[in-house]
Amino acid sequence: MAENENQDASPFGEEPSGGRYLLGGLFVAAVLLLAMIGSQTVRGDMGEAARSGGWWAEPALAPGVALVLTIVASAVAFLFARKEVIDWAKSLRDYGRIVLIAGCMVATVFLMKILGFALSLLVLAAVISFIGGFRGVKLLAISFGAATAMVVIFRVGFAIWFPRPALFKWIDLPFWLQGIL
Amino acid sequence: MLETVLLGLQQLSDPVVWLALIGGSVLGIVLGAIPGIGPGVGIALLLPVTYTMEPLAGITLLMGLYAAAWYGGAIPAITINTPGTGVNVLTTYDGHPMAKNGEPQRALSLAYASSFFGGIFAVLVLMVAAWPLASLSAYLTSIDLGMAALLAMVLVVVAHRGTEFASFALLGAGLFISTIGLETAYGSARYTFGTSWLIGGVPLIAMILGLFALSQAFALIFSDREIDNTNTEVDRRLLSGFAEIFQYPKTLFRSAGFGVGMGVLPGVGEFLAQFFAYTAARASSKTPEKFGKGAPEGIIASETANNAVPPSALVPLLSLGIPGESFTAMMLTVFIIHGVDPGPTLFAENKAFVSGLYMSLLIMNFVIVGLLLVGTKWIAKLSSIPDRLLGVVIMCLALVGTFSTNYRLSDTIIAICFGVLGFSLRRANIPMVPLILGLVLGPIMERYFRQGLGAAGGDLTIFVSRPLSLIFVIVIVALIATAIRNALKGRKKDNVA
Repeated sequence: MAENENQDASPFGEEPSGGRYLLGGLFVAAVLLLAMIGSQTVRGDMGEAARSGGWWAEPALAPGVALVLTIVASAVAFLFARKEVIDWAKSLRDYGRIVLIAGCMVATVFLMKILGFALSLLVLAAVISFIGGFRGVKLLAISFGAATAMVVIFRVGFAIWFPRPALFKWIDLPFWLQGIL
Repeated sequence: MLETVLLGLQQLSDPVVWLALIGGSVLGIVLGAIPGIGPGVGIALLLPVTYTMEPLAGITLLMGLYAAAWYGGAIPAITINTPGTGVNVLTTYDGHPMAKNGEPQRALSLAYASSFFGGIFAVLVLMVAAWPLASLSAYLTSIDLGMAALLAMVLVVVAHRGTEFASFALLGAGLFISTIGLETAYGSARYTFGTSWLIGGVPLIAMILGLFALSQAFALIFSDREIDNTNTEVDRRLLSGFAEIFQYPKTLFRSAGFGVGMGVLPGVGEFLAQFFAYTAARASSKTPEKFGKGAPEGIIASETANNAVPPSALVPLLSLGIPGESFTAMMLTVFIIHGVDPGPTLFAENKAFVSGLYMSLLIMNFVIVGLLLVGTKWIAKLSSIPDRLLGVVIMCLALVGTFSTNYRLSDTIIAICFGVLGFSLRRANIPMVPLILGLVLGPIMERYFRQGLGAAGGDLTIFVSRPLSLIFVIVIVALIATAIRNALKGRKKDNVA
């Protein structure tokens, strides 16, 4: 709560924030989901005892009520919101960078199966640092530092298991080192 | 009473609890002292770790982080005029002027002493209030408890003045997401779109990491905050405030009272508590003209009120099983994972856990103050870490935290989606708390209403035939009506302007 208090100024303030479009998107998504309620809340086969539960136990009831609340509230919030003039170029640039980072994160999960935990995180940290504007020695230091910290926290500290990567089938490393990397 | 203390001490004989206590406190201070992070990110990142711990150790770790962050947030507020967390804003009003007047030690010491007093006061209130409230709640029916959960959500929504409808929309979205997956009455797969990975519902860890940690990391990566390195030099003479705060007993106790009162109420929290405490302190001060220029009462009011909130927020969670804000909502998941049922049965069946929690909360305040007295000199320098560097580290932590829970790519993708949603919400200044509360309280409320309506044969008058439910209905309707009226008034004002 408190953490969010500083974000709790009106979403429809002077600074264009995209809040109106977000609420519009929420409205459209909720309408589409409500349209699917018949096909997405088909009763399971838990037996006659469950079927005698009554209307209050219908599987569609809770999501239906939640979606109706979302639709009504987002529609009113959208209508009440002040019209905004968005800097589309800046928004596209920012969200484009987020999509790029998201792509890197997904790629890192795949890379873990090939390069292992440490190397794939090194690549991720390097790419994100680059996107964040770091270059040269700083980029290298942050990437190695972040990857080392992750290895120390998760592999050494909490001893969290990760799948054995393909790389270790090709490179013969000591068993303890494989366990860390 | 003695039995409670002994039981609690017995629980604390586990070294893991001590590790959690100290680790949580250190992390909380560090995250609080770095502007722009706050405890939400830390709690989200640590949540998967706590699932592997005993409930007491897990909750202690998270509570340590939660409470210590408010202590740590005062450091940059005083030294560089930048609050470490949103709730330390008012500390800058008097803390920084006092530091600029050549008394940074005094300002920090007053902040620590006030925080300590507020924290201890609130734990004592928790010890006194939670048990009787839980005993009373044993007489509540399923409908009453369901209505209490609904009331908590409505209170949170209407607390966000100016964003009531957006908050309602997000509450609805949270409630909807909580229904995804296999439902128990009929064994229906709701909104799984034929996939197997949604059968168990949308993974809570991935959602929370996305909403809190990833969204914050995205924001930090794009941050262009200028770092102010001035006035971060402090030494270790930080004990004087522990005597000085008692020169202002009225301010001290009133602020602690505000903190406790606001902490117990769902949806209110630290910000309003410190606002009321600060305003009341200025109104009753003999020297109100000194407020904003380095008045000790200003620091005492805001820091005492802030730190009284976290233990008080546990009162409704422990006694009714209903969290009032996002941090305790996340903590509720630790209870759920371990099969510990907060609410009336907790005090009967898990006395040792409750006693241990009380003791750890008390000791936590001593540990945090001890750490601060020793480490402030170095902690003050944390505020100069660049935001973008923090963004890189949080992103790596969030990715590993998400993936290592189930080793599923789908969890990572869900976390990213919620991260983008969280980023957009932050950018639009739309609060995330209703979404989180909907996610956590949705299944609880559905279960209670199903049980209650089932017992009443589907008779809807059950909501108004019991006095307590009727009171809940009246309060909820009144709150919603007030929220709508306020929104309409705001709209009219906008139109006139």
